[in-house]
Amino acid sequence: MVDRVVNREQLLREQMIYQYVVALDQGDLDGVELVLQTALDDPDLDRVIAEINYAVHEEERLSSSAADAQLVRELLRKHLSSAFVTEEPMSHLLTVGEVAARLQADRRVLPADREVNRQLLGSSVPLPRFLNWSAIKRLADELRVSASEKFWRSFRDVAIMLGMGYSHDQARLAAAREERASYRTRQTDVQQPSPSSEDGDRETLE
Amino acid sequence: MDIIIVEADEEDDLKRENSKPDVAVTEEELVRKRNLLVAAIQNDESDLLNGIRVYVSRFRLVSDIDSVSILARDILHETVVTALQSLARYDPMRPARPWLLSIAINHIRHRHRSQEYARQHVIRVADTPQAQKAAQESHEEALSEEEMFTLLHIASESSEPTFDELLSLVEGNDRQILDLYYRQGLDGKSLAASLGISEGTAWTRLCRAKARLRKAYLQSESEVEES
Repeated sequence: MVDRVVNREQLLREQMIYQYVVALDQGDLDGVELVLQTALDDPDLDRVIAEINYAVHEEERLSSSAADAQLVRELLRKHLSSAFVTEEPMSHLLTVGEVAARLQADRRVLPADREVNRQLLGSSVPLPRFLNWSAIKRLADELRVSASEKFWRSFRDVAIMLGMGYSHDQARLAAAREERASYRTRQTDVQQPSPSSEDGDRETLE
Repeated sequence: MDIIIVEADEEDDLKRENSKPDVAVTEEELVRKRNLLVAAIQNDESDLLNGIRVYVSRFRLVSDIDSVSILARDILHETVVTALQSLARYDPMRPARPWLLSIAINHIRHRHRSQEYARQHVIRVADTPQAQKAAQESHEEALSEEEMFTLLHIASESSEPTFDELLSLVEGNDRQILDLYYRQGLDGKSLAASLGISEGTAWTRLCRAKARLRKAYLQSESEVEES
Protein backbone atom coordinates (compact mmCIF):
# COMPACT_ATOMS: atom_id res chain seq x y z
CA MET A 1 0.00 0.00 0.00
CA VAL A 2 1.32 3.47 -0.80
CA ASP A 3 1.41 6.59 1.32
CA ARG A 4 -0.69 9.21 -0.33
CA VAL A 5 -1.71 12.76 0.49
CA VAL A 6 -5.10 13.57 -0.97
CA ASN A 7 -5.95 17.25 -0.98
CA ARG A 8 -9.32 18.85 -1.47
CA GLU A 9 -8.31 20.20 -4.87
CA GLN A 10 -7.33 16.70 -6.00
CA LEU A 11 -10.62 15.19 -4.77
CA LEU A 12 -12.59 17.89 -6.57
CA ARG A 13 -10.60 17.24 -9.76
CA GLU A 14 -11.22 13.51 -9.47
CA GLN A 15 -14.92 14.20 -9.13
CA MET A 16 -14.89 16.60 -12.08
CA ILE A 17 -13.09 14.10 -14.33
CA TYR A 18 -15.65 11.48 -13.38
CA GLN A 19 -18.54 13.88 -14.09
CA TYR A 20 -17.04 14.80 -17.45
CA VAL A 21 -16.78 11.17 -18.65
CA VAL A 22 -20.24 10.30 -17.32
CA ALA A 23 -21.76 13.44 -18.90
CA LEU A 24 -20.15 12.58 -22.24
CA ASP A 25 -21.47 9.00 -22.02
CA GLN A 26 -24.96 10.18 -21.10
CA GLY A 27 -25.11 13.03 -23.64
CA ASP A 28 -25.47 15.56 -20.83
CA LEU A 29 -24.51 18.99 -22.22
CA ASP A 30 -25.01 20.81 -18.91
CA GLY A 31 -22.75 18.34 -17.13
CA VAL A 32 -19.95 18.88 -19.66
CA GLU A 33 -20.34 22.64 -19.47
CA LEU A 34 -20.14 22.60 -15.68
CA VAL A 35 -16.81 20.76 -15.79
CA LEU A 36 -15.47 23.11 -18.47
CA GLN A 37 -16.33 26.07 -16.23
CA THR A 38 -14.38 24.44 -13.40
CA ALA A 39 -11.44 23.86 -15.76
CA LEU A 40 -11.15 27.62 -16.27
CA ASP A 41 -9.58 27.73 -12.81
CA ASP A 42 -7.75 24.41 -13.04
CA PRO A 43 -5.23 24.00 -15.89
CA ASP A 44 -4.54 20.41 -14.81
CA LEU A 45 -8.21 19.54 -15.24
CA ASP A 46 -8.15 21.33 -18.60
CA ARG A 47 -5.23 19.13 -19.68
CA VAL A 48 -6.99 15.92 -18.57
CA ILE A 49 -10.15 16.98 -20.46
CA ALA A 50 -8.08 17.35 -23.63
CA GLU A 51 -6.61 13.87 -23.05
CA ILE A 52 -10.09 12.38 -22.53
CA ASN A 53 -11.34 14.09 -25.69
CA TYR A 54 -8.49 12.48 -27.64
CA ALA A 55 -9.35 9.07 -26.16
CA VAL A 56 -13.06 9.37 -26.96
CA HIS A 57 -12.19 10.73 -30.41
CA GLU A 58 -10.19 7.56 -31.05
CA GLU A 59 -12.85 5.34 -29.50
CA GLU A 60 -15.54 6.81 -31.77
CA ARG A 61 -13.19 6.44 -34.75
CA LEU A 62 -13.67 10.07 -35.66
CA SER A 63 -11.38 11.35 -38.37
CA SER A 64 -9.08 14.33 -38.24
CA SER A 65 -7.14 15.69 -41.15
CA ALA A 66 -4.05 17.72 -41.87
CA ALA A 67 -6.38 20.40 -43.22
CA ASP A 68 -7.61 21.17 -39.69
CA ALA A 69 -4.77 23.54 -38.88
CA GLN A 70 -5.27 25.26 -42.21
CA LEU A 71 -8.97 25.64 -41.40
CA VAL A 72 -8.22 27.41 -38.12
CA ARG A 73 -5.75 29.76 -39.80
CA GLU A 74 -8.28 30.57 -42.52
CA LEU A 75 -10.98 31.26 -39.96
CA LEU A 76 -8.76 33.63 -38.04
CA ARG A 77 -7.63 35.38 -41.20
CA LYS A 78 -11.17 35.77 -42.44
CA HIS A 79 -12.65 37.12 -39.23
CA LEU A 80 -9.76 39.27 -38.19
CA SER A 81 -9.46 40.97 -41.57
CA SER A 82 -13.11 42.04 -41.61
CA ALA A 83 -14.61 42.94 -38.26
CA PHE A 84 -11.41 43.35 -36.34
CA VAL A 85 -9.11 45.35 -38.57
CA THR A 86 -9.25 48.82 -37.12
CA GLU A 87 -6.73 51.56 -36.79
CA GLU A 88 -4.93 49.93 -33.88
CA PRO A 89 -1.22 50.60 -33.60
CA MET A 90 1.01 48.32 -35.65
CA SER A 91 3.79 48.97 -33.22
CA HIS A 92 2.11 47.11 -30.35
CA LEU A 93 4.77 44.88 -28.86
CA LEU A 94 4.41 41.88 -26.65
CA THR A 95 5.13 42.83 -23.05
CA VAL A 96 6.75 41.07 -20.10
CA GLY A 97 3.40 41.24 -18.26
CA GLU A 98 1.60 39.37 -21.04
CA VAL A 99 4.14 36.55 -20.96
CA ALA A 100 3.90 36.40 -17.15
CA ALA A 101 0.09 36.18 -17.41
CA ARG A 102 0.34 33.28 -19.81
CA LEU A 103 2.88 31.51 -17.60
CA GLN A 104 0.49 31.83 -14.67
CA ALA A 105 -2.52 30.70 -16.70
CA ASP A 106 -0.62 27.60 -17.84
CA ARG A 107 0.70 26.96 -14.32
CA ARG A 108 4.24 26.82 -15.59
CA VAL A 109 5.71 28.70 -12.65
CA LEU A 110 7.54 26.81 -9.89
CA PRO A 111 6.52 27.72 -6.32
CA ALA A 112 9.90 29.39 -5.75
CA ASP A 113 9.37 31.72 -8.73
CA ARG A 114 5.71 32.62 -8.12
CA GLU A 115 6.50 35.87 -6.31
CA VAL A 116 8.74 37.03 -9.18
CA ASN A 117 6.06 36.15 -11.72
CA ARG A 118 3.48 38.12 -9.73
CA GLN A 119 5.76 41.14 -9.83
CA LEU A 120 6.12 40.80 -13.58
CA LEU A 121 2.36 40.58 -14.20
CA GLY A 122 2.01 44.36 -14.15
CA SER A 123 5.09 45.04 -16.28
CA SER A 124 4.59 46.83 -19.58
CA VAL A 125 8.25 46.50 -20.59
CA PRO A 126 8.33 45.33 -24.23
CA LEU A 127 10.12 42.10 -25.06
CA PRO A 128 13.35 42.25 -27.05
CA ARG A 129 12.98 41.76 -30.78
CA PHE A 130 15.13 38.64 -30.82
CA LEU A 131 14.41 36.17 -28.08
CA ASN A 132 17.74 34.41 -27.80
CA TRP A 133 19.08 33.30 -24.47
CA SER A 134 21.47 36.24 -23.98
CA ALA A 135 18.66 38.72 -24.73
CA ILE A 136 16.50 37.05 -22.07
CA LYS A 137 19.38 37.30 -19.60
CA ARG A 138 19.79 41.00 -20.37
CA LEU A 139 16.06 41.48 -19.91
CA ALA A 140 16.23 39.77 -16.51
CA ASP A 141 19.02 42.18 -15.50
CA GLU A 142 17.01 45.18 -16.68
CA LEU A 143 13.95 44.04 -14.77
CA ARG A 144 16.09 43.54 -11.65
CA VAL A 145 14.36 40.35 -10.62
CA SER A 146 15.90 37.05 -9.63
CA ALA A 147 14.32 33.79 -10.75
CA SER A 148 15.45 30.28 -11.55
CA GLU A 149 16.94 29.37 -14.91
CA LYS A 150 13.96 27.08 -15.49
CA PHE A 151 11.64 30.07 -15.09
CA TRP A 152 13.50 32.11 -17.71
CA ARG A 153 13.56 29.15 -20.10
CA SER A 154 9.77 28.76 -19.74
CA PHE A 155 9.45 32.54 -20.09
CA ARG A 156 11.39 32.41 -23.36
CA ASP A 157 9.33 29.49 -24.71
CA VAL A 158 6.04 31.23 -23.95
CA ALA A 159 7.31 34.53 -25.35
CA ILE A 160 8.27 32.80 -28.62
CA MET A 161 4.90 31.03 -28.79
CA LEU A 162 2.99 34.28 -28.21
CA GLY A 163 5.31 36.12 -30.56
CA MET A 164 4.44 33.70 -33.35
CA GLY A 165 0.79 34.67 -32.95
CA TYR A 166 1.74 38.33 -33.00
CA SER A 167 3.89 38.15 -36.10
CA HIS A 168 1.20 36.23 -37.94
CA ASP A 169 -1.32 38.80 -36.82
CA GLN A 170 0.82 41.77 -37.79
CA ALA A 171 1.52 40.32 -41.22
CA ARG A 172 -2.19 39.89 -41.69
CA LEU A 173 -2.85 43.44 -40.50
CA ALA A 174 -0.31 44.79 -42.96
CA ALA A 175 -1.84 42.76 -45.79
CA ALA A 176 -5.34 43.93 -44.85
CA ARG A 177 -4.22 47.57 -44.74
CA GLU A 178 -2.57 47.26 -48.12
CA GLU A 179 -5.70 45.68 -49.53
CA ARG A 180 -7.88 48.39 -48.02
CA ALA A 181 -5.62 51.17 -49.32
CA SER A 182 -5.66 49.74 -52.81
CA TYR A 183 -9.46 49.31 -52.64
CA ARG A 184 -9.85 52.97 -51.63
CA THR A 185 -7.60 54.04 -54.47
CA ARG A 186 -9.64 52.03 -56.94
CA GLN A 187 -12.88 53.51 -55.58
CA THR A 188 -11.48 57.03 -55.85
CA ASP A 189 -10.42 56.37 -59.43
CA VAL A 190 -13.90 55.19 -60.34
CA GLN A 191 -15.76 58.06 -58.64
CA GLN A 192 -13.42 60.94 -59.52
CA PRO A 193 -11.87 60.74 -62.96
CA SER A 194 -8.41 62.26 -63.06
CA PRO A 195 -7.98 65.78 -64.51
CA SER A 196 -6.04 64.38 -67.44
CA SER A 197 -8.81 62.02 -68.44
CA GLU A 198 -11.38 64.82 -68.06
CA ASP A 199 -9.31 66.96 -70.40
CA GLY A 200 -9.08 64.07 -72.73
CA ASP A 201 -12.85 63.68 -72.73
CA ARG A 202 -13.32 67.37 -73.33
CA GLU A 203 -10.93 67.28 -76.24
CA THR A 204 -12.84 64.37 -77.69
CA LEU A 205 -16.15 66.17 -77.27
CA GLU A 206 -14.83 69.33 -78.84
CA MET B 1 -3.25 5.24 6.85
CA ASP B 2 -5.20 8.46 7.32
CA ILE B 3 -6.06 10.68 4.43
CA ILE B 4 -4.75 14.19 4.93
CA ILE B 5 -6.93 16.97 3.61
CA VAL B 6 -4.99 20.04 2.54
CA GLU B 7 -6.66 23.36 1.75
CA ALA B 8 -6.01 24.91 -1.67
CA ASP B 9 -3.26 27.52 -1.48
CA GLU B 10 -3.69 31.25 -1.64
CA GLU B 11 -2.75 31.32 -5.30
CA ASP B 12 -6.23 30.18 -6.25
CA ASP B 13 -7.79 33.09 -4.36
CA LEU B 14 -5.54 35.49 -6.20
CA LYS B 15 -6.43 33.84 -9.50
CA ARG B 16 -10.15 34.15 -8.81
CA GLU B 17 -9.66 37.78 -7.82
CA ASN B 18 -7.80 38.50 -11.05
CA SER B 19 -10.41 36.74 -13.12
CA LYS B 20 -13.29 39.09 -12.39
CA PRO B 21 -14.93 40.30 -15.59
CA ASP B 22 -13.85 43.63 -17.01
CA VAL B 23 -16.28 46.46 -16.55
CA ALA B 24 -14.79 48.83 -19.09
CA VAL B 25 -12.17 47.61 -21.53
CA THR B 26 -10.04 50.03 -23.48
CA GLU B 27 -9.35 49.56 -27.16
CA GLU B 28 -5.70 48.86 -26.42
CA GLU B 29 -6.72 46.19 -23.93
CA LEU B 30 -9.00 44.60 -26.53
CA VAL B 31 -6.15 44.49 -29.03
CA ARG B 32 -3.93 42.87 -26.42
CA LYS B 33 -6.60 40.31 -25.54
CA ARG B 34 -7.29 39.58 -29.18
CA ASN B 35 -3.62 38.87 -29.85
CA LEU B 36 -3.39 36.56 -26.86
CA LEU B 37 -6.60 34.78 -27.87
CA VAL B 38 -5.39 34.31 -31.45
CA ALA B 39 -2.16 32.78 -30.12
CA ALA B 40 -4.16 30.49 -27.83
CA ILE B 41 -6.48 29.38 -30.63
CA GLN B 42 -3.53 28.60 -32.89
CA ASN B 43 -1.80 26.74 -30.10
CA ASP B 44 -4.86 24.62 -29.23
CA GLU B 45 -6.31 24.19 -32.73
CA SER B 46 -6.25 20.39 -32.85
CA ASP B 47 -7.51 20.04 -29.26
CA LEU B 48 -10.42 22.35 -30.06
CA LEU B 49 -11.46 20.50 -33.18
CA ASN B 50 -11.08 17.12 -31.48
CA GLY B 51 -13.21 18.27 -28.56
CA ILE B 52 -15.92 19.69 -30.82
CA ARG B 53 -16.00 16.52 -32.92
CA VAL B 54 -16.42 14.45 -29.75
CA TYR B 55 -19.30 16.68 -28.59
CA VAL B 56 -21.02 16.59 -31.98
CA SER B 57 -20.79 12.81 -31.96
CA ARG B 58 -21.71 12.21 -28.32
CA PHE B 59 -24.58 14.68 -28.25
CA ARG B 60 -25.99 13.09 -31.39
CA LEU B 61 -26.27 16.18 -33.54
CA VAL B 62 -25.82 14.01 -36.63
CA SER B 63 -26.56 10.36 -37.23
CA ASP B 64 -23.70 9.38 -39.54
CA ILE B 65 -20.01 9.60 -38.75
CA ASP B 66 -19.12 11.32 -42.04
CA SER B 67 -21.19 14.36 -41.12
CA VAL B 68 -19.45 14.81 -37.77
CA SER B 69 -16.36 16.51 -39.22
CA ILE B 70 -18.40 18.83 -41.42
CA LEU B 71 -20.63 19.97 -38.58
CA ALA B 72 -17.67 20.23 -36.21
CA ARG B 73 -16.04 22.68 -38.63
CA ASP B 74 -19.20 24.78 -38.72
CA ILE B 75 -19.34 24.86 -34.94
CA LEU B 76 -15.65 25.76 -34.73
CA HIS B 77 -16.37 28.62 -37.11
CA GLU B 78 -19.22 29.87 -34.93
CA THR B 79 -17.08 29.45 -31.82
CA VAL B 80 -14.21 31.54 -33.21
CA VAL B 81 -16.63 34.29 -34.29
CA THR B 82 -18.34 34.34 -30.88
CA ALA B 83 -15.01 34.33 -29.03
CA LEU B 84 -13.68 37.25 -31.06
CA GLN B 85 -16.91 39.16 -30.51
CA SER B 86 -16.75 38.47 -26.76
CA LEU B 87 -13.15 39.58 -26.22
CA ALA B 88 -14.11 41.72 -23.24
CA ARG B 89 -15.05 38.53 -21.39
CA TYR B 90 -11.83 36.70 -22.26
CA ASP B 91 -9.46 36.44 -19.34
CA PRO B 92 -5.86 35.79 -20.47
CA MET B 93 -4.99 34.74 -16.91
CA ARG B 94 -7.07 31.58 -17.33
CA PRO B 95 -6.69 28.78 -19.88
CA ALA B 96 -8.48 29.64 -23.13
CA ARG B 97 -9.36 26.08 -24.13
CA PRO B 98 -12.23 25.43 -21.66
CA TRP B 99 -13.64 28.89 -22.40
CA LEU B 100 -13.69 28.17 -26.13
CA LEU B 101 -15.14 24.69 -25.61
CA SER B 102 -17.89 26.20 -23.42
CA ILE B 103 -18.78 28.53 -26.28
CA ALA B 104 -18.87 25.51 -28.60
CA ILE B 105 -21.16 23.69 -26.15
CA ASN B 106 -23.55 26.67 -26.26
CA HIS B 107 -23.65 26.53 -30.05
CA ILE B 108 -24.28 22.77 -29.88
CA ARG B 109 -27.09 23.36 -27.38
CA HIS B 110 -28.61 25.96 -29.69
CA ARG B 111 -28.51 23.53 -32.62
CA HIS B 112 -30.02 20.82 -30.45
CA ARG B 113 -32.95 23.07 -29.64
CA SER B 114 -33.39 24.06 -33.28
CA GLN B 115 -33.36 20.42 -34.32
CA GLU B 116 -35.93 19.53 -31.71
CA TYR B 117 -38.11 22.42 -32.80
CA ALA B 118 -37.75 21.45 -36.45
CA ARG B 119 -38.77 17.91 -35.75
CA GLN B 120 -41.87 19.23 -33.98
CA HIS B 121 -41.61 16.21 -31.87
CA VAL B 122 -43.11 16.40 -28.42
CA ILE B 123 -40.97 14.62 -25.89
CA ARG B 124 -42.43 13.58 -22.61
CA VAL B 125 -40.79 15.57 -19.81
CA ALA B 126 -39.86 12.28 -18.14
CA ASP B 127 -37.88 11.28 -21.24
CA THR B 128 -35.66 14.36 -21.39
CA PRO B 129 -31.99 13.83 -20.41
CA GLN B 130 -32.42 16.30 -17.52
CA ALA B 131 -35.39 14.40 -16.11
CA GLN B 132 -33.66 11.06 -16.56
CA LYS B 133 -30.59 12.41 -14.83
CA ALA B 134 -32.70 13.79 -11.97
CA ALA B 135 -34.52 10.47 -11.64
CA GLN B 136 -31.22 8.63 -11.60
CA GLU B 137 -29.86 11.01 -8.95
CA SER B 138 -32.94 10.53 -6.78
CA HIS B 139 -32.41 6.76 -6.92
CA GLU B 140 -28.75 7.20 -6.12
CA GLU B 141 -29.04 9.89 -3.49
CA ALA B 142 -28.22 7.28 -0.87
CA LEU B 143 -24.59 7.66 -1.98
CA SER B 144 -23.38 10.83 -3.67
CA GLU B 145 -20.39 10.82 -6.02
CA GLU B 146 -18.33 12.65 -3.43
CA GLU B 147 -19.22 10.10 -0.76
CA MET B 148 -18.36 7.31 -3.16
CA PHE B 149 -14.88 8.71 -3.87
CA THR B 150 -14.21 9.29 -0.19
CA LEU B 151 -15.40 5.77 0.60
CA LEU B 152 -13.08 4.29 -2.02
CA HIS B 153 -10.09 6.32 -0.80
CA ILE B 154 -10.72 5.32 2.79
CA ALA B 155 -11.42 1.67 1.96
CA SER B 156 -8.24 1.41 -0.09
CA GLU B 157 -6.18 2.73 2.83
CA SER B 158 -7.77 0.67 5.60
CA SER B 159 -8.55 -3.01 6.03
CA GLU B 160 -7.93 -5.00 2.87
CA PRO B 161 -11.13 -7.13 2.91
CA THR B 162 -13.40 -4.05 2.74
CA PHE B 163 -11.79 -2.79 -0.42
CA ASP B 164 -11.65 -6.28 -1.88
CA GLU B 165 -15.35 -6.70 -1.13
CA LEU B 166 -16.06 -3.48 -2.97
CA LEU B 167 -13.95 -4.55 -5.93
CA SER B 168 -15.64 -7.94 -6.07
CA LEU B 169 -18.78 -6.12 -7.19
CA VAL B 170 -17.25 -5.37 -10.60
CA GLU B 171 -15.66 -7.32 -13.47
CA GLY B 172 -11.98 -8.11 -13.95
CA ASN B 173 -10.90 -5.10 -16.04
CA ASP B 174 -12.74 -2.65 -13.80
CA ARG B 175 -11.30 -4.33 -10.73
CA GLN B 176 -7.77 -4.06 -12.14
CA ILE B 177 -7.94 -0.35 -12.93
CA LEU B 178 -9.63 0.55 -9.63
CA ASP B 179 -7.01 -1.41 -7.74
CA LEU B 180 -4.17 0.32 -9.59
CA TYR B 181 -5.67 3.75 -8.95
CA TYR B 182 -6.80 3.43 -5.34
CA ARG B 183 -4.49 0.85 -3.84
CA GLN B 184 -1.32 1.21 -5.89
CA GLY B 185 -1.69 4.99 -6.07
CA LEU B 186 -1.14 5.17 -9.84
CA ASP B 187 -2.53 8.30 -11.43
CA GLY B 188 -2.95 9.64 -14.96
CA LYS B 189 0.28 8.98 -16.84
CA SER B 190 1.55 6.22 -14.53
CA LEU B 191 -1.81 4.45 -14.71
CA ALA B 192 -1.73 4.69 -18.51
CA ALA B 193 1.85 3.40 -18.65
CA SER B 194 0.99 0.47 -16.42
CA LEU B 195 -1.91 -0.55 -18.67
CA GLY B 196 -0.15 0.29 -21.93
CA ILE B 197 -2.84 2.75 -23.04
CA SER B 198 -3.08 6.52 -23.51
CA GLU B 199 -3.67 8.80 -20.54
CA GLY B 200 -7.10 9.85 -21.81
CA THR B 201 -8.16 6.23 -22.26
CA ALA B 202 -6.96 5.44 -18.75
CA TRP B 203 -9.07 8.26 -17.28
CA THR B 204 -12.09 7.25 -19.36
CA ARG B 205 -11.84 3.57 -18.33
CA LEU B 206 -11.30 4.51 -14.69
CA CYS B 207 -14.37 6.78 -14.60
CA ARG B 208 -16.56 4.16 -16.26
CA ALA B 209 -15.29 1.54 -13.78
CA LYS B 210 -16.21 3.90 -10.94
CA ALA B 211 -19.67 4.44 -12.41
CA ARG B 212 -20.24 0.68 -12.67
CA LEU B 213 -18.93 0.11 -9.14
CA ARG B 214 -21.22 2.81 -7.79
CA LYS B 215 -24.21 1.27 -9.52
CA ALA B 216 -23.32 -2.23 -8.32
CA TYR B 217 -22.76 -0.98 -4.79
CA LEU B 218 -26.16 0.76 -4.67
CA GLN B 219 -27.80 -2.33 -6.05
CA SER B 220 -26.15 -4.58 -3.48
CA GLU B 221 -27.16 -2.19 -0.69
CA SER B 222 -30.79 -2.17 -1.78
CA GLU B 223 -30.76 -5.98 -2.00
CA VAL B 224 -29.43 -6.18 1.56
CA GLU B 225 -32.14 -3.78 2.74
CA GLU B 226 -34.87 -5.77 1.02
CA SER B 227 -33.68 -9.06 2.44
